[in-house]
Order: sequence, then C-alpha cells, then structure tokens
Amino acid sequence: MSKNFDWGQRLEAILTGALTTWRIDGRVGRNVSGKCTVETERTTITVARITDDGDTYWEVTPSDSDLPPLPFSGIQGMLRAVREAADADETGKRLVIGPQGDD
Amino acid sequence: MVTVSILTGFLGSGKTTLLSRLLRHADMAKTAVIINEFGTVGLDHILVEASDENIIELNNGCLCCTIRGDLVLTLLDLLGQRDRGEVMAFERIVIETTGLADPVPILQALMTDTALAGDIEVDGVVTTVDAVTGAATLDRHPEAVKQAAIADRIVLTKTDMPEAEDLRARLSAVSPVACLLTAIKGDIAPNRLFDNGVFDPSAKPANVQAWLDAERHTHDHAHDVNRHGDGITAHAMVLETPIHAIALTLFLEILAEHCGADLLRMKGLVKLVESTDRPAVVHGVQNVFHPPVWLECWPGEDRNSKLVFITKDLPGQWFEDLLLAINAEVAEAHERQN
Repeated sequence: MSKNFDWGQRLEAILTGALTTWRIDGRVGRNVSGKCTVETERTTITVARITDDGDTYWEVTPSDSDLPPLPFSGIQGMLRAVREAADADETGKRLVIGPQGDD
Repeated sequence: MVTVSILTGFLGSGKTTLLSRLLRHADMAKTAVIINEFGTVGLDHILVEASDENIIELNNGCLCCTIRGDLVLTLLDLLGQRDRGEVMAFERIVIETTGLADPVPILQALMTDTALAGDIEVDGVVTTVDAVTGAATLDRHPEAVKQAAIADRIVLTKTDMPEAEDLRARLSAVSPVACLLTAIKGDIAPNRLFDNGVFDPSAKPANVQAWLDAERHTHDHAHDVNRHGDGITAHAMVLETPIHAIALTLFLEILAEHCGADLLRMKGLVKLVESTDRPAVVHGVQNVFHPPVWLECWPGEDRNSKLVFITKDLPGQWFEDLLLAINAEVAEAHERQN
C-alpha cells in the first residue's frame, strides 16, 4: 500500500484538517517548486517530504525563521513544528530548558 | 408489568462498561437491553459482552432528538415477541442512551405513551459520571448536567483513577435526591441500581419537573443522525487496510496532543497487522486514552476496522487522512528495513 500512497494530496488534506483542528485561519497550497505550503497571517511554512539515499524525513521551514529547515522523522513531529510555527500562542507554551533571562 | 430503566451518562463516562459487567450478573438474566448510539456505525452492541439475542441496537439517530417514535415501536415489538414466546420472558428492559442524550424526552415518552401504558413502568434513571473528566464535562456540556440532575442513581466511574472530591459535592448539588454510588470497572450489584420503585417526577428538584413539563410541548423535527447541535458530530471510519500497532499508537498520541477536549469520544475496533485474528478495542475520552483491550476473536464476519469519533467542530475526514498517512509512513519504514 505504501508504494502507491499519494503523499502530496494526503499532506494537503492533513494540513488543512490540522488548521481547522487548531482553530487557525490559513490556507494550504503549493509553492513554485511544488512543495506544500501553509499560509497563515503570521507566516508561511513550507513542508516537504524528503527522500534521500533511502532515508525519508519531513522538513519544516517557516518563512520568518533564520534557522535552517527543521527535519522530523515522522508526521507527529512535523505537525507539532507546523503548529508551533503557525500559532504564536502555541510557541508561548513551549517548554524551554536552559538558562533564563533576568526579566 | 415490565420495568424499564434508563442508563445514561456523558460520552465515555462508562455506560457500556457498566452494562457489560451488569449483564454477567445472575440477577440480570431476565433483562433485555436496547442500545442507542450516536452516528451511523454502532460499536457498543459489540463491546457489551453478552448474548446477542436480547440486545437491540438503535443507531439511526439519538433517542432524545429523532427516534423517540422508534423507541416506542421497538418496545412494543419487543413486548409482543415476549408475549408470543419468541424471545425469553424478560422482566426488565435497560435502555442505554447515547452519551449526548437528554434523558427528559425519553422519560416523557416512556411515561406518557398510551400504547405502552399498562405494559411497562419506568423504574428510574441511572447516570454514569466519569470521576476523571466529570467536572470539566459538567462545565462544558449542559446535557451532562441534565443527565445528572434527573438521575435516581449516579454511578461515579473510573474512581480507580485520581478522583476529585469536589465532584461528589457538585453532583449532590445538581441532583440532591440521587443516590451517589461508585463502580470500579463497572463492578456493582444490579440491585443497587434497578428495581427501586416507580420513577416519581414529583420527588425530583423543581428544575427537573420544569424540564418534564416543558417536554410535553415539544415538537418533532428532522435531524441529521450524525449531528447533535452545538457543532457536535459523529464521524465513522471503516478501513479494510490493517493498521500497524505503532501507527495506531502514534495516531492516538497525535489526537491527544492536538484535539484536546474537542474530541469528546473515540472508540473503535481495529484490525492490526500484528494481530489480524484478534481485534483491538480502543477507547478515548477527550485527551484520556485507555490501553487497547484485545478481543478473543472478531465478533462477526466483518473484519474491517471501525472507528467512531464524536467531536465538537473537528473535521471528520482528518482522522482518516491522518491514520492512513501514519500507517503508510510506518509501512514504508518497515519496507526500508527489510
């Protein structure tokens, strides 16, 4: 079954459903290179499924981030990253372990 | 005279577990059961481990909204079959409502339908309340408050999990005349719940009497059998493809993380790649998911996975898209390893 799986179409459906579930206004589409994008008021996030030398992973790239694309081995991590990038409130809930500022 | 009891309680509060345990008890031998489920795919009749012959499934809508007439017809048919000796001579009927049911119109139909008068007497209302999610459910869902308020017996379930003591106080305030009981994994003697005398509306608090009075003036209206108002919808998924166990685990983790309290109830019978002959029963209530339970075998010829999601404003198709994608991802990983 997995060989015939239409990842492009299924990814769009998953991300569209996720936006509704998260109550985030946004639009799922494709960019010029055919990669899936999630466009929200805050940012545009590119989500790609990368197959590289027998290894497969997800890459999440928020347009407002200076960091390199974030790789995730599974849908679970990919969804969490998209949600954090799309939802300012969700990012605020993230647990930060490490030195804290003085404020 | 056949006594009729109503077993109600919010989604996932333990009605089916309670009923399943009760039906193993010798005192329940002469009991017929009517199970009403919300949505088009029913599972509770499978999950109640008892003989099929005295269990009737009503899953073409919720009793409180659309199929009150069906209930009366079902009861009349059942009583006729009993009188003709076509089914065992039951002395009691237990009606398990949907988790979203308002028990008031059901009670009203049972107490006032002239065709049933003389054949049945309404014994009372047993309401299950989940000790874990009960307080939040009472806050969010007026149906749950009504279910508790009208109860003669409230059974606090899942008390083997950490229990909020203030829930007991709140239930006593909502239903001051109800007897408050507890049941761990549905374990309670039938005589503590049933055959406690005819249901007496005059002994109920004023708000319950007002609801019953108001119900006399309601109207019938057409409904989508999968919708219950306030954005609450049942989504059913039937899958031929077996699911990898790890994919099911990941799927449930994602639901718990992303759906929160908007996933009111999830239940299912799942065919796993690792165990195609023994289906897994999965249950979830809001973001609490229980470990799968394995059935000895499939309950019938149909060996497809069936999952039902009752949600508040969540996209139903998303569950299927997500589960199939996770399953494909896991299958690909297996293929790469082999």
